[in-house]
Amino acid sequence: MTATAPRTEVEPQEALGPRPFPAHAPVELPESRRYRLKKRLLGPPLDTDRLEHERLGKPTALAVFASDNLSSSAYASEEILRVLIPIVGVAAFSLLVPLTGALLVVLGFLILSYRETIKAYPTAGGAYMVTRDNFGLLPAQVAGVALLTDYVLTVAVSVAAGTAALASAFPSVSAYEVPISVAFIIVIAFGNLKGVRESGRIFAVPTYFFMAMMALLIGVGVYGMINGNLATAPQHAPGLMKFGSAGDGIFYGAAIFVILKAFASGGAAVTGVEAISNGVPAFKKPEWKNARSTLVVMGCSLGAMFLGLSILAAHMKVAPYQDGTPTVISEVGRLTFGGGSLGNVLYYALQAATMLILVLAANTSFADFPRLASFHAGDNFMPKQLTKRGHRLVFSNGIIALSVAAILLVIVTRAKVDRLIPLYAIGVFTSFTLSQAGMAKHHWTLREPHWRRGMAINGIGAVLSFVVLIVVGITKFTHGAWAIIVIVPILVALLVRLNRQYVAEAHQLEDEAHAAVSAPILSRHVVLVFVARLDQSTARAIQYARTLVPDEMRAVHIAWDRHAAEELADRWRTLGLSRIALELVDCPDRRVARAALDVVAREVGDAKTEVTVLLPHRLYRRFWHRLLHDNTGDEIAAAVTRLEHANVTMVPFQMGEPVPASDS
Amino acid sequence: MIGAAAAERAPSGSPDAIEPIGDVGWRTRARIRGSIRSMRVQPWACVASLECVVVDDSGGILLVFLGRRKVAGIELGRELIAEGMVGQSRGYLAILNPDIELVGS
Repeated sequence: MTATAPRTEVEPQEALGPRPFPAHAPVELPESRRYRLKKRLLGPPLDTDRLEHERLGKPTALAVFASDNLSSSAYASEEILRVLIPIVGVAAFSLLVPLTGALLVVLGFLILSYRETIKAYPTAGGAYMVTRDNFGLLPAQVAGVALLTDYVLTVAVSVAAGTAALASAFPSVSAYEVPISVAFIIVIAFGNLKGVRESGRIFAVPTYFFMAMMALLIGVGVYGMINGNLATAPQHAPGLMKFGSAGDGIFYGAAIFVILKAFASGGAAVTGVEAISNGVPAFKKPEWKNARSTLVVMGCSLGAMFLGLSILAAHMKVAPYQDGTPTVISEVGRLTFGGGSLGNVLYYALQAATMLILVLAANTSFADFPRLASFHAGDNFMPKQLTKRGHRLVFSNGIIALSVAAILLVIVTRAKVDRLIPLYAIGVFTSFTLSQAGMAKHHWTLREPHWRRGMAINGIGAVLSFVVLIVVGITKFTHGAWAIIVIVPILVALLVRLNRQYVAEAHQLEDEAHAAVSAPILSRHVVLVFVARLDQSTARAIQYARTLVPDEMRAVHIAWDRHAAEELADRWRTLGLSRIALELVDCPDRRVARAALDVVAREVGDAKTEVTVLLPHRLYRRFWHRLLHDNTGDEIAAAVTRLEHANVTMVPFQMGEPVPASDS
Repeated sequence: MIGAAAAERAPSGSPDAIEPIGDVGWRTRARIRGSIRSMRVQPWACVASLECVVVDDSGGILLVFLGRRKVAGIELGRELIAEGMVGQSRGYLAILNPDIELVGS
C-alpha cells in the first residue's frame, strides 16, 4: 500500500499535505467473465457475517429437511407390495397394513432417539459427530461414509422416482427418464448453490402442496371406505405384476423370509429421519428446540401419510405394475378421486405433487451432504476444498460433488428406482445404529438428569435399527446390498489413506515453523534473468531485475542453437545496460530445463547463496493462443525449484491489448 | 455508509459532528466513522504499534496506536468512531492515538 506507492505520486502531494486513502481501489479491475456469470446466475456474494441470517425458520426447515422423509410415503407401500405380491398373491394386501405398522414403530423410536441426539448435539449434530465423540474417528468415518453414500443414493432414488411419477401421468416421456432425471438434479443443485434460505424458499411450496394433496387423498379415501363406495382395482390389467398364490409350495420359514424382505423394502420409508439432526445448525435460535419440534411434526406427518396410503392400497387391492409405472400412489389416486372432471384435476394435482416431492427429497440431501462432507474434511478425512463456503455461503464444492455422483449413478442405473432402494436403506440404518449406540454411550458416560430414560430410548433405537440393518443386509444381499457392503469399507479405507497424507503434510509444514521463521538468512543473493531472445517480455524482466539489489546479477541464455546465441550476444553488446552481463551456456543436447538447473545448482552449491531466477512470462488472452507456444519457461521453473534456496519469479507480460486483469 | 449522512445532519464545528473521511483536513481535529479495512501488526522485535485503515464511502484514514501491540476491539470489519488530531504518516492522513468508540456489537 503506502510503502509501495511510487515516489512521483507522493511528491506533488507534499505541497497540499497528506491525503486520505482512496475509498476504493485506485485501479479499475474488471471482474473475470466467470465471476460475472456466477454473479448473474447466483446473485450477489453473501458476506460471511450474513451466516446468522441464513438460518431457517421452522416452516422452511420442515420443507427443506422433511421432504426426503415425507416423500418416502409415496413409494414405501409400493415397495412392500412389490416384494409380497409375486409370492404370496392377494395375501399381500392383508400383510401391508401390519408391515406398515411395524415400520411405524421403528419410525417412532427413531424420532424419539433423534430427539435425544438433537438435544445432546445442538451445534453440529448428526451421526458423524455423535459417533466421533463417543466411539472415535474411525467409526465416525463409517457412519459418515454410510450417510454420504446414502445421500447420493437419495438424490438418485428420489429423482428417478419423481421421473417415474411423471411417466405415470404422461407415458410418452418414459423414454426420456434418464435425461429428465439429470435435468432435475441440475435444477436442484442450482437452487442450492443460491443459498440456504433461497433454496428453502424455492422448495417449500411443493412440500406443503404434497402434504395437502395427501391429506385430501387420504381424507376422501377413508370417507369412501367408511361409506363402502370405494372402487377396487382390476387384478388382470396388462403389465400388472403376476400374483403368486399363498399355497404355491410356500413353507413357513420362506414365508417369514418374504415378510422380512418386504419389511426391509419398506424400510426406505423411515430414511431421512436423520436429516434434521444433521442440519441442526441451520435452524434459527434456539436451534435444538426448533429442530426437535420440526422433527416431531415430520414424523407424525410421515406416519399419517404412510399408514393412510397403505390402508387405502390394501383396501382397494392396488397392485404395482411390472415396469414401475403407473405407480401405486397414482392408481390409488385415480380410484379414490374417481373419473369425473374434478376427479381428473385432483388426480393430476396429486401426480404433480408426488413428482415434485419425490424430486425435492433430493433437496434434503443437498442440505445435508455438503455439511457432513465439511465435517469429514474438517477432520482431515476428505479433501479440504469441501470445508470452503462458496459465493452464497453454502458449501458449493460439496453441492457440486453430490450432483456429479448422483448424475453418474442415475446414468449407470438408467433411472430405475427399485434397483437403487435396497442400496439405500443399508447406509441409513448403519448410521442410525452407530449414532443411536453412540447416544446410548453418551448417556452412560455423562449421566445427566434423566439419563436412564435417554439411554433406554437410544438403546432400543440402536437395537431396532441394527435389527433392520441385518434384515436388510441379508434379505437384500443379492439385490445390490452387497454393493454397499463392498463400497463403504473401500471408501473408508480411502478416507483413512487421505487422512494419513494430510497428517504427514501437516507434520512437515507445521513442526518447528516458529523457530524456522527466525532462522538466519543466507549471506549472498544472486539474480539470474533467463533470456531466450531479446523482445518486449525479456525487456520487462530486465526492467524489473534492475530494481533489485542483489550481490550479483546476470542474464543467462541457454544456447541450444549456437547461431541464435551468437546473434543474441551481438545485440546484447550494443545495449546500454551497465550492470547486467549476458552469460551464454552451451546446451548441446537441447535440454534447456536441465541446463538451467545446472546453472542454478552451481550457484546454490556453496550453501550460502539464495538464487532468484527471473523468468519472462507471457500471458495469453485466449486458451488456444497459449497452445501455440511451448512452455519452456514452466519447465525451467519446475526443474529449478527442486533445488533448495532456488526461487523463481515470473515476470508477466500481457499479450494482446494491455488489459489490467486477466479475462479468462 | 453512515459518515456522509451523519455529517449533513450534524452542525459543522460541533464537537460531535462526524465528518466524511474524504473531507478530513490535515492538522485539524476530526471525528470520523467507518469500518476497519486493513491492519498492520509489528513483530516483537519492532517498536510496538498497531496501525489500521478505517474507511467510509468517501475515503480512508490511518489510525496509529503507538506503544500498543493489541487494542481490544480493533479487528477487521469492526465499525468504530475515532476522534483526534489529524497528522500524517508516509504521505497519508493519520490520527495518532485516537479516541475510539466501538459501534455495534
